[in-house]
Amino acid sequence: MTKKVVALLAIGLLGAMLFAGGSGESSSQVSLIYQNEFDPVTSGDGVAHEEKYAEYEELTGIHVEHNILTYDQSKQTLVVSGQAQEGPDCIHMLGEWVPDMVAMGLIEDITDEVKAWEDYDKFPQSTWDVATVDGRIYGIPSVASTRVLVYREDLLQAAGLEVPETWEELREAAKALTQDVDGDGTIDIYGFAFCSSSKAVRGPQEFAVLLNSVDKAELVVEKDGKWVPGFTVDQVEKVFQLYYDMMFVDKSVPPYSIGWEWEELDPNFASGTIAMVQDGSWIQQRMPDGVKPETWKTADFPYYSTPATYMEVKVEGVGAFSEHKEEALDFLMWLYNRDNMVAITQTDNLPSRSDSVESPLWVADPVWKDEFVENAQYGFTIPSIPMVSIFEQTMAFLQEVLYERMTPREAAEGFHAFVAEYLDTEVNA
Amino acid sequence: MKKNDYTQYLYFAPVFVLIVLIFIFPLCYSVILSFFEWNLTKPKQRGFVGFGNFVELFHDPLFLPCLGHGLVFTVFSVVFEYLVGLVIALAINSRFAVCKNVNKALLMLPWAVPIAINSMVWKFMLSPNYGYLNQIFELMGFSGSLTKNWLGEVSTVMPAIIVVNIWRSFPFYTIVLTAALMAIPKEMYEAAEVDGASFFQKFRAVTMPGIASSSAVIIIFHIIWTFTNFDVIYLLTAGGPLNASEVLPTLMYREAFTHFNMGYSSAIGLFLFVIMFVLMGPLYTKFVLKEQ
Amino acid sequence: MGKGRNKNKIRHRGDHLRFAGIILFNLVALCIVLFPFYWLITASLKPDKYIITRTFYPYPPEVTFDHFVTVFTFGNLLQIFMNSVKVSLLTVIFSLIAIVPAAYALGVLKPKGSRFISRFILSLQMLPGILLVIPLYMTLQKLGLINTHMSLIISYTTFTIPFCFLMLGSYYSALPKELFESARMDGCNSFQALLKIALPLTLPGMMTTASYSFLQAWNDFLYANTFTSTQKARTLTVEVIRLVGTWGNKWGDLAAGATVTVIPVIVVFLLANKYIISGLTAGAVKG
Repeated sequence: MTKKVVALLAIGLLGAMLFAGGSGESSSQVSLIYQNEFDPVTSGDGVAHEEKYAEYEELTGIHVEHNILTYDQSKQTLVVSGQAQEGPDCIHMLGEWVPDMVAMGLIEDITDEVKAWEDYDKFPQSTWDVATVDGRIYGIPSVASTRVLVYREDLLQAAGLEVPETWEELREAAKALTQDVDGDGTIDIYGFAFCSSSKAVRGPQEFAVLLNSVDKAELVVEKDGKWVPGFTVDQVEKVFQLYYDMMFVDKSVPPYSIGWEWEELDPNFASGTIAMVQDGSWIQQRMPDGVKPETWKTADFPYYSTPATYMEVKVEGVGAFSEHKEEALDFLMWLYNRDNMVAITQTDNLPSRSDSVESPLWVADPVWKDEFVENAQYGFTIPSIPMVSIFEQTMAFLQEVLYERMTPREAAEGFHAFVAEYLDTEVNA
Repeated sequence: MKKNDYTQYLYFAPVFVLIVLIFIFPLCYSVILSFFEWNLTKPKQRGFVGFGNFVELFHDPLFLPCLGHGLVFTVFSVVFEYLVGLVIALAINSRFAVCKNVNKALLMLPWAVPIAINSMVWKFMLSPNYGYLNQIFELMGFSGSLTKNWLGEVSTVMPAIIVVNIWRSFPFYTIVLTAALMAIPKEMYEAAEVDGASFFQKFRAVTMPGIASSSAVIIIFHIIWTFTNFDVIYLLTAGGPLNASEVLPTLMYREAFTHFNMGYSSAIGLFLFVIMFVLMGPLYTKFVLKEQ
Repeated sequence: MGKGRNKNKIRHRGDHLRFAGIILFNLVALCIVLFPFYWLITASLKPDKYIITRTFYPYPPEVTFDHFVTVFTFGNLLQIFMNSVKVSLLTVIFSLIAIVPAAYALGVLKPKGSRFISRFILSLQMLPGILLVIPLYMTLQKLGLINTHMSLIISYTTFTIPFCFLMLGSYYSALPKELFESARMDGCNSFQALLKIALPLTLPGMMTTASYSFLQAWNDFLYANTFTSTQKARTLTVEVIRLVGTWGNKWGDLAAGATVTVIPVIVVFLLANKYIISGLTAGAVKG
C-alpha cells in the first residue's frame, strides 16, 4: 500500500515536471501576437483574417498568432498586463479606447511612420482623427461602420407604410407595426427597440446618433482649447423625450427591453420580435436560416432636424511592450492595404479606406454595403478624450427616464450638469 | 515526539512559500496601493493621499446601496440556502428515501459546475422572450403578471440573482447536513418516540442540537463566501440595471477595470476584508477554529 | 439497498403516504435542480431556430450535432480543454504536496506554535479573491509566469489551502497517536512515518482534497480570465465566457461549448462523489 502511494506520487510529480516543462518554445522565428475579436466561428471576416495571417507567414516567414478576445476581456488584459510592462504586438481597439490607452502608455506613437506611408491619403481624415491624441497618431484606422435604420420590408409593406424619414414618421410606423399577430392577447411584434444597458456599449452610440440629429448637437465639443458639452438641455431633452414617448406613450417598444445590450437587441431583431432597429452592417450576418434576404432592408436613420449617423472606427495599434514593433507595424500596414482590407471586410465589417471601391475584390452590394458607405459622408466620430464615464451616464440617465424616476426634462438637466462638471474636473484640469 | 525539533517546521515550508507569495506579498501591495491616488490613465496625478480613498469611499453615493445590496444578497441567500438545504437533507435522510448516493451526487451538480456556465445558462433561462421560465409561466397562464425581464428590472433583479445563488449553493448545505443527521444516534429518536414526541418535538429536542455545530460552520463559511462573491453577480448583471444589483466586489472590479482607479479599488477591497474580519472573525474563531 | 429492507421500512399506518410524499418531494427537487442542465444539453442538440424562439419546446424537435462540429473545428476547444485538464490535474498534485505535510505536522507532530499556525492558515479563508487580482498579477509577472499555466496552478493551489487544510486536518487529528509512537520505536523518522503510516490511512482525505482542488481549478473564472490572455494558455471557463461575448446569439454553439466543459465535471463528480462528500463532511462536522 505504502509503496503504491509513493509510486503514485512520484509518477505524478514526474508527469507534472514534464507537463510543465513541455510548454517552453525554442524557436528563433519572429512571432507576433495580434489581439482582436475577429472570430472565425461567427464571422467570415474572422476566417479571412486567419487566411491572411497564413499568407503573411508564407510571404515573410513571420508567424502571426491570432488571439481572439471580446472587447471587454481584451481591454482588461491590456490594462493589467500593461501595468507589468507586457502586452501583445498588435492590438485591435475600439476608437474610444485610444485616449485611455495613450494615457496609460500602452500603444506606440506611430505618427512619423504612417505619415511617410504612401497609403496615408487613402484613409479619410475623419478616421485618422479617431487614432489621434494631441496631434500624434497612435494607430491605423481599420474597419469602419455607420449606423442605419434596418427594417423589415415585408412588415412595412403589409402595413402599407413608407420607410420613415423623421422621428415623427418613425413613431407612427413603430406604432403601426406593433401588433398581436396570433391574437392571444400578447404582442408578438414590436415596432422598434433600442439599447439601454448599464454596460453602455451600443446604447450610447444610438443615443449620440439621436442627439446629433437634433441640430447637429454632439456630446462634447472643443471650444477655445477647452472641452464643453456640445448640446443644450433642450436638445438632449428631445432625445430623452423620444425614448420616453416610444416606451410609454406609443408603447411601440417592448416593455421588457429596458436594460438591453446589443446581445439582446440583435437576436430579437433577427428572430422577428422587432420590426426596426438602429444597427450596423454586421446584423446581416445574424440573419437566421430560412429568412428571405430581401425582407431585410436598410435606410438612413430617421432624424429630428438633420440626418445623422455615428461612424464607428476601429483602430489597430502597435503594443508599447512589443519586442518587434517594426515588424508589427509592417504587418498592420500590409494587412490594411487596399486589397487585403477589402478581403477581410467581406461579411460583417466595412473598410475605412476610400480607395476600397477601386479594388478588384470589391463587390457592390446596394442593400447593405452601399447604404452604409453612403452614410459615412456625414457620420460623426467620437472625440479623442476619455468618454467612458460620459457614455455610462447617458445610459444611467436614460434608465432613470425608463424606470420613470425622472422626467425627460430632469434627466436632460442632470445629464447636462454631469457632462459639464465631468469635463471641468476630469478633462480640462 | 520531540517538541523542540526544528526540522518539524520544514513540513510547513511549501504551504508557507505559497502563502507568502500568493497571499501576503500581494496583500501588502494592496494595502500600500490603497493609500495612494493611483489612476492608471493619469500618471501625473499619482500621489500619497493617506486615508483619502477610504474617506472617498464613505462619501461615494454608491457605497451605502452596495453595502445594502450585499447585506440583502447575503442574508436572503444564506437563510434560504440553509432552509432548502436542510429540508432536502431531511428528505434524503428519511428512512423512506431511496438511492441516497445517486441522489446526493445529482443534487451536488449545481455546486460543482463552473459559475461561468451556471450564470450563462440562467441568463438565458431568465431572458424575457426566449427564456424557459417565462415560457413555462405563460403555459401555466400567468402571462403578463409573471412574465418579466427578471434580470432587467430594478424590482426583480435582486430576487432573481438570489434565487440563482441559492440554486447554486444549497447542495453544499444538503451534503453537510445529511452527514450531520446521519451522525445522530438512532436510539435518541427511538427514545423520543417512546416518550410519545411528535415530529416537531423530536426535531427540536434531537435533530436541532445534533446539527447545530455543523450548521454554524457552513453558515459562517457561506456568509464569508457570499458577501465577497464576485462572479455570480458580475456574470449575471454586472451590477445593473441602475446599480440595483451593485455590491462592493462588483464596484471594486469596475473601479479597477473600467475606471482604472487602482488605489480606490484597493481601498474598497481592503474595506471588504476588514469588515469580514471584524464581523466574522469572532464567530469564525468560536465555531470554526475551536474544532482544530 | 434490497427490496426487503424497503418493505421493512413501512411499519406503521400512514407510512405509505409518507413514503410517497418523500419520493415525490425528492423527484420535484431533482427536477428543479437539474433543469438548467437539461436545458443546456438539449440546447446543444437543437438547431438555433428552436432555441431563439418564443415557443416552449420541452424536448428538441430535431437533433443536430452541428454545434459540436463547429465548436471543435473552429473553436480550438480541444487545445483549451487540454489546458484545463492540465491546470486542474497539476493543481491537484501541487495542493497535495503542499497540504499533506502541513496537515501531518499539525495533526501528528504538533511542534510549538501549531495552534497559531493553524489559526493563521484558516483565517486566510476570509481574504476576498478579487482583492488580490491586480497585485498578484504584478507579482506573477515579476516571476515571469504570466500567460503560463504555472501562474494559475500556484494561485489555485494557494487558494485551496485554507479549506483543504480544514478538511485534511480532521483526518490527521483523528489518527491514533500510538501508531506513530511505535513507529518511532522501530526507528522510523518522522518523514518515514508520514509515508508509511499516515498517507495510507488518510487516503480518503487525500482523495477529497484532490477532488476539491480539481473542482476549484476547473471552475475558476476570475483568475483564469486575468492571468491567461493568449489562446495557448486559456482555460475552458474563460473560453466559454469569450464565446458568450463574441458569438452573441449563437446559443446552440455556446451550449455545445458549455456542455463539453460540464461533462468532465459531472464525470469526476459521479466517480469521486463519495470522497468529496465524506471530506466536506469531515471538515464541517465535528471530526
